[in-house]
Amino acid sequence: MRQESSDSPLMASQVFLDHVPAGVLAAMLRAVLQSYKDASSACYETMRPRQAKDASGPFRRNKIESELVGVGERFQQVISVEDNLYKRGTGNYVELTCGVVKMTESCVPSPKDFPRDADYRETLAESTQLVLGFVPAETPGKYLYAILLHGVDGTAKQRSGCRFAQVRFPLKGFASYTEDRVDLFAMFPSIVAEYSDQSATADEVHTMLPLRVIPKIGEA
Amino acid sequence: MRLGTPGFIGTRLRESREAYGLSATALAEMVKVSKQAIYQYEKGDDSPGPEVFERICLLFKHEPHFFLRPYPNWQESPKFFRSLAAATKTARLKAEARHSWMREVINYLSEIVVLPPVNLPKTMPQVEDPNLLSMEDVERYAAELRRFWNLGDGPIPNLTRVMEQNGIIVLRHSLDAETLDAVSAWALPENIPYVLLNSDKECAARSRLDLAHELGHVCIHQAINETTLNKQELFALIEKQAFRFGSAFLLPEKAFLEDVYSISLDALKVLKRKWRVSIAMMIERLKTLEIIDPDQHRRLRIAYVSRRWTKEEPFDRELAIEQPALIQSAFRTIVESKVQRAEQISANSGFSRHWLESLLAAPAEIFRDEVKLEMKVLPFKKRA
Repeated sequence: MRQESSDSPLMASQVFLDHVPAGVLAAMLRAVLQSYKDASSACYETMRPRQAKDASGPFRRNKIESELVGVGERFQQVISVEDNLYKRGTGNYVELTCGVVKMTESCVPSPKDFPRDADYRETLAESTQLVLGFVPAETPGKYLYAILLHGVDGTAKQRSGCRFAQVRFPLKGFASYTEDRVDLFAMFPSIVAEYSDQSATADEVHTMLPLRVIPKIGEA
Repeated sequence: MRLGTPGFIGTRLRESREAYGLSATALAEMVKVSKQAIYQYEKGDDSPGPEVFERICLLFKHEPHFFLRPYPNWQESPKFFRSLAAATKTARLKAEARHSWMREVINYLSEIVVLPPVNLPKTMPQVEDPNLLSMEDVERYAAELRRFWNLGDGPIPNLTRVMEQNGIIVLRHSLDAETLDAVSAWALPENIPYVLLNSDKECAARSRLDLAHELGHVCIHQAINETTLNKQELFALIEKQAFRFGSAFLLPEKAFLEDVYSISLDALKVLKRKWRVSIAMMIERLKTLEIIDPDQHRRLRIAYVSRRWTKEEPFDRELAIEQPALIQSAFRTIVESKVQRAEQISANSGFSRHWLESLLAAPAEIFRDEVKLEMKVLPFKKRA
């Protein structure tokens, strides 16, 4: 697996944040976190643990991709979604476009790792213009390619938790990332807390305010 | 000479019959008199003899003094029924009668305990013609009420409690009618809003929408009169407005949309636990707010039906149904502060223990505790 490079040609994260609204990023984070939970319950409730572990990865990936299409529909004014076939037609991947940003998602062991080789990722990385002085408006037809990287929290029960969710920017040739990144866990700690704290959905207790008796005439 | 029942109030018999959904013929058969006799009792032209009177009391589970109490001549705003088109006249009469009894007992209790005063913004509309209210106005009034009650923008964990604390009487009672969800009205001249929910609907999320819908009638339809309500096209508009108010009140646009991360049934399923409203309602709200177009709405509805959620949605059995507590609390306060015993409340209000328990959810243990208390009053000594 390739490792990240230490060079930093430009602040891709700034371009990214200029084009992708925070509401969209919050929605993507929710979609990822919820998909981890859903995949875990769907697999572990219906299979033996070993088979569930094997199945949960592909299930989760497809659940996330399916929800990302939903995110695209939710924010259709700013995002367009494409459900694309792999070059050899052996599967699909979802590609979101938001202004000059094109984005896909991948599950990796850590945010410094690269997803496995895929033609579409390399093609997308080729089309980016990650050079100093990159001005999106002056480079029609060119995009900033971003990958939403997320990974399993090994300590969570039945692989139901996500350990990180970061947006990273592969450099041309898909051999390294820029140094900067957008850390969704740091950006939205309350959403992360919502998904890690089960008691958040517990019923609130509402007691009735005490009533008082009307005093009889002369008693008051 | 045949003995009658002096002071028998015919209107009470008619109301009891309606509260049970019985025809005069059916009642006549049950108490073993002619149909004509029933009409005469109801009109006050005659009264039942002791045996028939006893049968009437047993049948309707009322104490005899209920039928001897003067019938209150109260005013009321028009009643808003939340019902399916199939709701029969019998079902409506049944609900009306029980609504009226509820009011009678609460009126009695309110002479003894201080109930929370009605706390609604003075800016709520006073329009007689619903056409003068736009849907944007309705959204605005719902938001204004949230602000007035300091509810913030988030989910309301217990709508019943919020309404009770702001002086709206809420009760859940079985109306034995699948076609009727709720009924509400303003009691006049004391100006107290009452909402009666049909407890036959055992679904927390849907029941909350029923309640929010009635809250809409209470707030924005105060000045609507009976004539307007009886015009079919205006009634449809009034119902739409109440639905819009309820949806906007339970799901305020900004906060709700911040939570909708994806247009998918699974995403809405997640939100159901947080917002405590049905998935079906969220789909409609998204359509109303133009977040989804008619095509997306149709797709979601098809998926919704194919998951068989029309009969039962996820978490329907897990979300607890909100139970009113105000009137129960009033009973407890009266009994625990020893102002009156439960049996006295029953005797003075005119309603039997059965009706106090079933109609107003009077706590059954209050009556049981009194029995225990009476046992203790008579200590027996062992023989020497």
